[in-house]
Amino acid sequence: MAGSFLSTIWYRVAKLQPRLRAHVRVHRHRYRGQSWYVLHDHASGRVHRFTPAAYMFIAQLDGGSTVDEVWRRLAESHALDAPGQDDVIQLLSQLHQSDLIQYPGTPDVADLLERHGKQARQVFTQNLTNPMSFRVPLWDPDRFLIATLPAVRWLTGWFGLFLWIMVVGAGLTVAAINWERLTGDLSGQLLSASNLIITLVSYPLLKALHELAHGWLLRARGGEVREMGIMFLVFFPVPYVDASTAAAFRSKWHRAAVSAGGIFVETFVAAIAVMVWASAEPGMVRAVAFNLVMVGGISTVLVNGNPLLKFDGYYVLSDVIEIPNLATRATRYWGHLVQRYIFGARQLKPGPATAGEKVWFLFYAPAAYVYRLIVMVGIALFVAQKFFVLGVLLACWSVFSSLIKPMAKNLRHVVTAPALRKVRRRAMGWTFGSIAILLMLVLLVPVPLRTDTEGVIWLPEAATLRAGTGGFLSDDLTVSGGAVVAAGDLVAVLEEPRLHARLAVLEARLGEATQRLAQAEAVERLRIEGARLDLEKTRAELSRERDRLSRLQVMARLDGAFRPSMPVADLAGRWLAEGDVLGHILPPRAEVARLVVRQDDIALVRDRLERIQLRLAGWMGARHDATLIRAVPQATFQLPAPALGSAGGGRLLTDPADREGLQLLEQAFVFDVALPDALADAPFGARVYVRFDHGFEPASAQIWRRVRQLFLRQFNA
Amino acid sequence: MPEVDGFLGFGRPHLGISPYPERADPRGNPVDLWLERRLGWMQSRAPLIRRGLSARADAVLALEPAIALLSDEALRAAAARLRPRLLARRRGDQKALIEAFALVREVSARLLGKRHYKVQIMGALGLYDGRMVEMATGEGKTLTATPAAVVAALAGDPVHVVTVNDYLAARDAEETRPVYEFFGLTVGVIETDMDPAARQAAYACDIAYVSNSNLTFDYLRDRVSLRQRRGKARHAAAALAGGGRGAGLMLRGLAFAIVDEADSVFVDEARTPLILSSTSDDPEAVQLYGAALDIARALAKGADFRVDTLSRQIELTDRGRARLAELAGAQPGLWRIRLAREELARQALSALHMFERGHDYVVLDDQVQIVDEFTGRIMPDRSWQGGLHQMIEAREAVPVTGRKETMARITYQRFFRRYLRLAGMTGTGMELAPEFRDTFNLTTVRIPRHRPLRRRHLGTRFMRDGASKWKAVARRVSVIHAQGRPVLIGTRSVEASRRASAALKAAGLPHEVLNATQDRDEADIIAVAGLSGAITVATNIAGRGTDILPGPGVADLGGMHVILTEFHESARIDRQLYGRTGRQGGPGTTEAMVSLEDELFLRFSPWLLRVCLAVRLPLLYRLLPLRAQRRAEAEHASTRREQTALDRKLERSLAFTGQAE
Repeated sequence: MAGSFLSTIWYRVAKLQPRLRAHVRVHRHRYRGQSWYVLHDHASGRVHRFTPAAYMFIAQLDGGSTVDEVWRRLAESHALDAPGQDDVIQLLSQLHQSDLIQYPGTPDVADLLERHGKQARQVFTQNLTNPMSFRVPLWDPDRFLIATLPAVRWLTGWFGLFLWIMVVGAGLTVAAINWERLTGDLSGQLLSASNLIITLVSYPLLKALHELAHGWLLRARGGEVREMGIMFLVFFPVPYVDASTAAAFRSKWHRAAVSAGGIFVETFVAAIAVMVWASAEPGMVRAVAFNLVMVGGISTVLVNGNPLLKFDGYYVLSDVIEIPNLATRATRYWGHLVQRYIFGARQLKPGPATAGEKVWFLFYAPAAYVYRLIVMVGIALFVAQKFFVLGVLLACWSVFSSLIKPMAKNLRHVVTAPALRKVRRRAMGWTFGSIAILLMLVLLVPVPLRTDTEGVIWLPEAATLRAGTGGFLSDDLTVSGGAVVAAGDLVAVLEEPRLHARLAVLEARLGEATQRLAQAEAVERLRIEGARLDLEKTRAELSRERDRLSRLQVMARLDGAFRPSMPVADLAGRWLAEGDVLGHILPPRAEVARLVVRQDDIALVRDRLERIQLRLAGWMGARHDATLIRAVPQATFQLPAPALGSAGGGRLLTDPADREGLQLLEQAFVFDVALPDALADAPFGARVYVRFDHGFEPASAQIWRRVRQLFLRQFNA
Repeated sequence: MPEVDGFLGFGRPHLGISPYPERADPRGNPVDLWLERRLGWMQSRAPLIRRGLSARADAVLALEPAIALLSDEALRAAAARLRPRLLARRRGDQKALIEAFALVREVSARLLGKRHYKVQIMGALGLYDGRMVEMATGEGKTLTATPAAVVAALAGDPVHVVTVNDYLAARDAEETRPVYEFFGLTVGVIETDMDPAARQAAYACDIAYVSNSNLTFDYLRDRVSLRQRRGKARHAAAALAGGGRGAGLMLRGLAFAIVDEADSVFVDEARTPLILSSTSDDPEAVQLYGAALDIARALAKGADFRVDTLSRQIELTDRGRARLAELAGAQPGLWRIRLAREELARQALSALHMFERGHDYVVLDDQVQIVDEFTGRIMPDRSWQGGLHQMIEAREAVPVTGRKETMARITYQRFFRRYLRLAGMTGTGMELAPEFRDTFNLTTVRIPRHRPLRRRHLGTRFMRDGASKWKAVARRVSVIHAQGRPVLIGTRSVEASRRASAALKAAGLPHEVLNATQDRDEADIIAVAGLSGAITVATNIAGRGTDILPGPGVADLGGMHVILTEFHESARIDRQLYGRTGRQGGPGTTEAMVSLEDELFLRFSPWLLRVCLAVRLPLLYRLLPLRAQRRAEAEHASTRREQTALDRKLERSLAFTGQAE
């Protein structure tokens, strides 16, 4: 309580004889060990919290004594902490604004009408300012809830909680057992068309049950639910109930139970669904169960049950830790801290808060802000994938509502608030100074500009030993596994007995053809041409077979160590088809890493390359400089190695339909870099992380480039 | 905007709940107000309205030959003929309006011997249109108001001509009474010590001359007597039932007000609300305030409390609070209540450390009387709020008046806005045009001078400290005095005028002092101040409304010389002081002689002052008043805006108490 003791406008209120309106009920609550008085207005269903000091005054308003008398009595009896006249006027004004008091006499009719109009427009203006949660009140569900309560009353108490714990515990166990299967390819399943259609039906139904749970839990504890309707949450219709009367409950557990009703229902359904999913055969039932697990589970964990967003979880938290209005008060507390300690407005008094509450405030406000921002941007990006324009609008709106609007409000406060009058210069200095510094950082200060990508340690094509032709591997290889060979060395010999026979046949046929030609020249001139052709054909066939014969010998084409593809013992006597890999000749050192660069980054990599740095997977600590030796000028959809694609754990998206995981969804460019000596021992095929360094550029320019790319792609597509 | 509020037929003005006509309080939104300010600025600078006025004034002047031939009787008859037309069509019937103005001009020439100049007719037309008319000082504003008042009264509106004090109200009324009476209109003058019946009679006249505070207090008295029976029907019913009891109201309605020296009323005096209070006896008061002062004297500046000079507030430190609790431990009653004792202590500290006798108040006849910071006038009907006044009385050891119980309060902003038609006259209103627009819905029009200005400004001289300033002033006065020219020395406070007087006495110069403590012989001193050889030291008292007539032969010597000894927080007030000489195209010189120690510089540009003291560069000195005045004006303007906003907010939050005053 602040303000002066005597007020110059006291005469306006001194003779009033107010009293609480007849339907206002008073409850005494304890919050964090302190008493509070909660005034429950049954007409509007709203609940207002007052300090004992304020209630001391309110309690004496009996419609008979004047405000002045009551105040004098307080000053007599509560000497030290008697409220000032300003405090009393403020309190009365607050009571009046909340429609809690009445008094004889004519009120200011113009003001009444204005307030009526304001309240009538309230839902509408709220919807306008927050199109992401558009509320349409529809009906009064109280009678329905009373009628149906007997059927579910057994679930609203301890038994219900026990059942919930059992079922959710079982569900969690099942989920843990099937974790791999449940989460494998999550996004693919979540966004598949059939799942979206199921969601369209399951989501509103689940939410309806969720809201009814709030209603039943509230009704079972004696509260009233007078409003139910449809809310368009990100344009998606979901039902809602107005359960604000729960705030009048004395026990915080009762309040929390009502708030948690939705979480109970959704997790309960998700738990049953996960058990069904685990035991059902693939088909419709399983798909629906999976969908329910996702909707009930994910939405509870990420959104509804998360106390950082202002949904059920938040109310449960604020009930349990006994800090009503946590979010607003936390924000206000931060505002107070900034104004008092940074701006130096020492005359400002903080709102009433205990030390414990302050700790909560300190942590809650920034955490909630960051989380909200992340969720909003996440939703916007998610939507943008499907509906680009809508996504961009959403993103604009979320940036406006969570960054620009509060910032404008705060700036306005700094520039015009009478409370900051004395410290205006300092406040403006700090505010605009920090904004200027931030802007300068973003706009002018260059930050490193880089492109990160991945590659593999590349084994040259020549290193692969392939069977040049089909044949049985001879029983003993000419070199053993691991032996060092030089280029041209014989590594293995294939045996193809039929080849020898065929050679013999062909040689005989060659002799025959030669003789036939000679005979024709001498005897039958007419047949010369046919005999010559026959000879040619036979000769060609023979040379091809001879060539095959030579290819029976598998030679090393590089210097290096021979590494058979399977143990030598297994290889012996095995049939190899032409082209089958017999083994590799590993060069003594790795020379090249082959990288893939996304087409978005290609301009930077081509034009502004200053430096390339490599890190080898497994040896992340060390960075190595490398030089570019080859750039394929043409874009490709084919990955050089499956390890680079998303199917192989890499960062480039590949077509899930491609078995080999080599088919890219978006074009990319292939580069080769020479490996430094330090990486000579790198295992072939190992992943390398590559950073192309493009020098420095301000963050704004970098963001601008990406945004332009995004828009270009979306609008050209 | 008067153009669209009922006068041109675009809907009727929105009337407030009252037995007599008055406008309802507007509920403007911030965007509207912002736009109004911009619009006000533009309109005051664009010549459109002025050209319109000029054309109509020419039309009025063109009627002179025809009207000059008429006999007095014929003039009266012509006026009577015009009345229905004025009544019926209001502003729409331009011909009737122009003829009526021409009639008044002729009558004024015949009875007063003063025929309105064109610029005066322009001003009068502007007033009738509901504008803020800016006319240079000495252009005859009293005469300018007459045609507008006559024509409005002929059309049936109760007209209030508002002046800054009783003296001016009486003087102006007497000066122009013959004109009104010629047309059969009655004139009433309200004085502060009149009884209610006499006041009622004066307001019942067609035209009432009244000071702004009297008018506002009378309005508040009406409000208090009405209380909740404010609606027309309820009031009439109460009057019927009570056998004419409802007739006890003072005013007849807020139809048309012509406010003279409007910047002073609308801006300078509008900073604090007017409060109608009844005094109740409080026998313990003397003891209470005495104890408060004793305790306050025991607190140490810096450690226990801080003085905020810019916003004029006392802040108690935590140590101070603890010490206060300790000191007050033995005291009974209010002292036991934490908030009450801290407030008492703050007030006692303010009384001791912030309010200076001779500067902020004077003690006259054992009474503490507030001196207006801007005008230097005593404001006899005002007192500080919440016990501060009593605290200062206790400090000055004069009888402590009883605690004042507030009965009603209103700000000038709110009150004058309720007039159906409001007009203002000022000598210096241009820089306030945006504010007049957003708070009072007045568009400012600058009326050209009748004759070119022959006054010369001799520049500003900066002195190191106060003592050398007064010495230099005395030297300067003796030089001009030797030439036989009258000299007016303007001071900002009573205290300063005493010092000026002392300096002049030391130099052996005969002089008169005119300050808040000598309000009564003001007229006598003013009457001789313009004579050759007169030396007058005056607080801003001489700044407003009163005409210092140059004596015979003075004009040939170069007119009166005005010395400004301390810059005011607003350059407007400086110009008003300069405007005491060179009136109506006469000659005159002005100069400023100030010291670097003046409070204005210290308060509003301490940084630049330090530079000036260190560098001693005369060129730099010139920046000092510019910068300090600009900062002060900006500060005051934002204070006023905030106050209006706060008042509005307060009214909204107090809606539960029923209608406001």
